[in-house]
Amino acid sequence: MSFTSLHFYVFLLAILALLSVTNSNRQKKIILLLASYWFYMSWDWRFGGLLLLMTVVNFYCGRQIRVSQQPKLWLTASLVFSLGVLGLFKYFNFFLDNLAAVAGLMGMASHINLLQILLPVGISFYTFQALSYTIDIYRRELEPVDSLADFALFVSFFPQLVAGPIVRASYFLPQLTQLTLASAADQRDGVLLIIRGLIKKVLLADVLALHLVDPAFASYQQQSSWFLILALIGYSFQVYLDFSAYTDIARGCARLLGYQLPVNFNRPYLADTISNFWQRWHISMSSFFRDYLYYGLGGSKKGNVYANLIITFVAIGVWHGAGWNFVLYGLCHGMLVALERWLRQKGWLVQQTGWRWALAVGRTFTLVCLLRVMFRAEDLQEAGGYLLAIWQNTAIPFQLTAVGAAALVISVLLHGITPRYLAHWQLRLYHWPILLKAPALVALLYGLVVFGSAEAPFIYFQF
Amino acid sequence: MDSQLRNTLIAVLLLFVLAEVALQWRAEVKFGNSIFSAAAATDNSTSMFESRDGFKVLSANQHFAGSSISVQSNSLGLRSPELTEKTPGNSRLIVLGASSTYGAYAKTNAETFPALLQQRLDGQFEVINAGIPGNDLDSQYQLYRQQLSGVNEDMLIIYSGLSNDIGRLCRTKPSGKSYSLPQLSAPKWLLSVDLLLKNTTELRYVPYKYQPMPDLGSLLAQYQTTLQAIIQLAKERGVQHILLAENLTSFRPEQPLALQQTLASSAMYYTPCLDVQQFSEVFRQYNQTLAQVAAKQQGVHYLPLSHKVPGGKSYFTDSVHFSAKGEHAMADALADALHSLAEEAK
Repeated sequence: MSFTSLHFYVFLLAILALLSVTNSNRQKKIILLLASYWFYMSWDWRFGGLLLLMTVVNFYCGRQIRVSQQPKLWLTASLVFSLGVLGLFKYFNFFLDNLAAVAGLMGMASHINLLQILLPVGISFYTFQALSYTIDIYRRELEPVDSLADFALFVSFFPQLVAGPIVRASYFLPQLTQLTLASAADQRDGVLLIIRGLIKKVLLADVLALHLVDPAFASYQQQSSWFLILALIGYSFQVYLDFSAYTDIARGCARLLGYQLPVNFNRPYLADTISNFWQRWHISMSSFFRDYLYYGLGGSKKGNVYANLIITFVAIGVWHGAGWNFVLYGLCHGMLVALERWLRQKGWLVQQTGWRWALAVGRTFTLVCLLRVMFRAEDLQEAGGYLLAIWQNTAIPFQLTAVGAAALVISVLLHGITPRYLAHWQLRLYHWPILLKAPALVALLYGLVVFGSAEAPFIYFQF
Repeated sequence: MDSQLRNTLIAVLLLFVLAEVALQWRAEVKFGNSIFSAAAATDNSTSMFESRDGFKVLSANQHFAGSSISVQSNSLGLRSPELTEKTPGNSRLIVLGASSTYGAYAKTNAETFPALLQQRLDGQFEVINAGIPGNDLDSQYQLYRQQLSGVNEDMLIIYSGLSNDIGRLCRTKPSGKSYSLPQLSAPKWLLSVDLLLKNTTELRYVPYKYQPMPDLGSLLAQYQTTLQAIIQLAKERGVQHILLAENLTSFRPEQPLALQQTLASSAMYYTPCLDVQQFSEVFRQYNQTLAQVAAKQQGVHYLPLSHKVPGGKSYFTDSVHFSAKGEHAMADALADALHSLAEEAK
């Protein structure tokens, strides 16, 4: 059930209608819990069992961490189970594949068969949410909840279930303690966020994919150097728009239901360093890794800070997918962040202003774009081939559709708008007279129909 | 709910419904067929098309009057006059096909190429238009086998159309069993959506996509098998001459690429996984199959038509459907072919 489908909005309206006649918090939570499981099982009903198992095990571990004499044991149990399930579904075949390759290199014939495992949608997101609960209890930053239903709703809350933002238990569970109804401002902001998300996803990200990115990566041997360069830039914007669109719609839906979800992006391509980029990109994930892995490893206080940084970023890379391209993606980012830290300590990297800042932003964006090749390519060979084609295909004539060019220009321009200015304009549009607003929204709806026909899934669903 | 939000949502919904109603009304006025006529249909008066066992026909003995297109169906559910008593010396000719044969844009039954062909044959033949939109070759075979069994035709022309056959090239088959829960989707009769998508294919068309040519092997084999089944059945019914007409498109490889892309717009809507050159190649391979089948069989003739019915906007309304001029050109070409056949027989 995609956020861009008619089905989802009928589903959402049905839930809102049900909630409008509900006057108890318990009823509201039960409706949302059932709706969340329905939402998740709409992809594959068998995944519902996995989600339930992840919920029950972590709920029980969380309780035992608080009451048992051996909290570390129960935390370990929670970590082993949650990461084990994630590993089995997401990384087991990668592991087997590499084992077979190593066996082959050592001259041993391998008879390892890969497992036919279907990756449950959003598993990386809800596994981390569930883990944040047990780790926070262990660190005494959170009290375990009494109600399994509350915890189940936290893990499965449908707006952010399959592609985040990754919500901490300490952020969301307190919102479940009392009945909160969406105020008029919440409803307005919720609808505006949903509209913004749909525009970003259907009218920009999917158009960039269709006209620029997909043709470039599908046939980079036949595309001109300039087209491949533009496609790399286009891909960076496509990923951003696609993912931030999901977050916008998720936050918008949550608002309509009376809840808040955290901001996940802050104009990441205006970052002036790679470390600054990670403070602006997928904030809920990068802060999760910072708080639970980097600090866990010792951060800058214990052990080798550079090693800690590199390990954290390799883990971030691997979180995105099972492949050496993701390992290398994380490793490169980790090394760059470590290098920036070293330069900063030496006093060679300082906060810039004016044109020096613009240069720093350009340099960071270039690095991010180049590293994205590994993110988009199927494997390292394809990534290398793409970069080589940029170098070699200078004689091929450049071509780009007007629609693709327009989507790229609008994407870049939109990225530059400050959130305050954007919010101001959104409000102005919201207060347009209905005779102007309604036709504009119908035109937008038709635009979504025109470009939404391909039904491209959100990129981060695969993670 | 916030009153401003509620009012906006209601206004948007109203506008959408109004646009849809206007388009449905337009369809009713122009083509005599819309959601209104379908909704008003009773057991006695059904909607425009009826599904039978593996094929479609028009609702029998109905008049669908629109300002642009008027369709009169006969008792067999065809856009053709009622069959008269077959008399000695009078021959019958069936033109089997899909929407192009039916005359998707022909204003009246008399302006379809099978009807025009009958005029050109000076009463020697009673021509039956057995073209129904949406029927692929398998459906055409079923229609021929079940619906046209007692017609006693003397000649058969197959102008299969192809759009319905190659449309399946772009349909992705779900791999294995589906475990997803049921999903809602927009109803297919929503004309606003249909019209928007049909008229905006160029916005989604990427000429430098370089997608691989789909494997036609199994589709061509199936097409050939069905074609042979139709021929076999026709021969069993005593049909002396079977003509396999070349399937035509508005866009042709000799035209400038930009023009081909414009002319192929509606084809791209139905078959979005092909680019315009691939579309031409698919047609070429299907037509080659027709020629190969004809070459192997006694009494089966392949009719190349592209030199007699040129491509472009004056002969075609969209990628594959004839304009009034195209219907005439098609009738002329077929009449010439039949005259040549008669000359050869002498």
